[in-house]
Amino acid sequence: MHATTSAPFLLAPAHRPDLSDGAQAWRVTFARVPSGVVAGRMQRHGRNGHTDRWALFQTREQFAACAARDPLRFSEPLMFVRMKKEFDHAYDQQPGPDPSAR
Amino acid sequence: MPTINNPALTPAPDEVMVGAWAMGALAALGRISGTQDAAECLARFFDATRAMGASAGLYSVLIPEADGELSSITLFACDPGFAHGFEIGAAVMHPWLRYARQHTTAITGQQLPLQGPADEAAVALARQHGFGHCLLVPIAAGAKLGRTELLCLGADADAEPVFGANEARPLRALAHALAAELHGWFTLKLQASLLQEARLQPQDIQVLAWEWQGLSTKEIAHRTGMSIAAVDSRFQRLNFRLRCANRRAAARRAAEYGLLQSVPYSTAPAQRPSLKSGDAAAQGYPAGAVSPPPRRSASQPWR
Repeated sequence: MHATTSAPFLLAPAHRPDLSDGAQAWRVTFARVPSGVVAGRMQRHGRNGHTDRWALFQTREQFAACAARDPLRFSEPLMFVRMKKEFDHAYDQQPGPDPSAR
Repeated sequence: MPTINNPALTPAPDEVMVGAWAMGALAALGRISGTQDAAECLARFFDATRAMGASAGLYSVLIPEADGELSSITLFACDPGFAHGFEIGAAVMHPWLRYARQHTTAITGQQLPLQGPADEAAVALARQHGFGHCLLVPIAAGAKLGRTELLCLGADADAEPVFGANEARPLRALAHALAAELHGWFTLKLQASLLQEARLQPQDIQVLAWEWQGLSTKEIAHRTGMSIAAVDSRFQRLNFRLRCANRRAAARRAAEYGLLQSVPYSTAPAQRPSLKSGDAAAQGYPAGAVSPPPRRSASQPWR
């Protein structure tokens, strides 16, 4: 089977911070929006199955609280550290133009 | 006034105030359709939820895949900590989603049937994350389809009045409008995602639609002017691209992702594709699709 991405519309453009494991079993992406940072986590399972979750973090504290409960903290410690750095990077960015203005 | 903060929920609502509130909420949810990706959509969904006066929102899409697999996409317009505990899966599923898979009518959280301690724990967790009271609005993708979508709006437990009250009718109507906006957004994006993933052409969609309608290989061959072997070969390629074991599963996957929506159901006698350009819509092709050229043409797309 050829490698494809599931639901590519949900993946952020390449310039956004993006983390994944080597096997592409899961992928995390961050996007700055006016009200905070949206984090998306895509996990693949089986041939076509995928679980995509998108949450809006309005503050750093919200993300820290979630990160403290994240199983990745133990299963993927290096990626977990990178994920926190990428969140901070995204949070420090200026939000893009409001899509409602389009 | 409680957490559900809108003037429609006051005992003697001021019509001007209610009108202004409704217009503001409608404007907020109307911005969803213009968003480009899930991040922007979630940001607008979050804004619309708050404009309606709710304290939390969730929208989940469940897509059955081949071999009993299940794909899900969930937007959490609420305390993001809720995302950790929200169970989605073929074996374990949150009671909200289980309700949405079996019903099409909106209910409040108080009306939701719970089936045991696991359900009660799931509801208790939701209560901690802004869904003390909730309104569940399930959406069915269509007849014969298993795709399920659910909008849940939440309010804190001490909010009064709640979603089931008579005064909340405008809010319930707006919730249906919000669910419809999100459903439309997801349908378009799911279509685009599968088209891109499987590199499908309009002719591929048409043969998948015929397969979905139950036409035999012989009938499809007759309609397209292809040989039976060529039809079989085309389906083999489609099965591979759609990552399905057989053509029935491939057609179902295309249908679940909304690709066959614009191809009208037809049991009419077989007709060869028109030779005229611009007849795509008449033949059931999606908007913008190109009509197939005549049989045995040098640019025959069915070959």
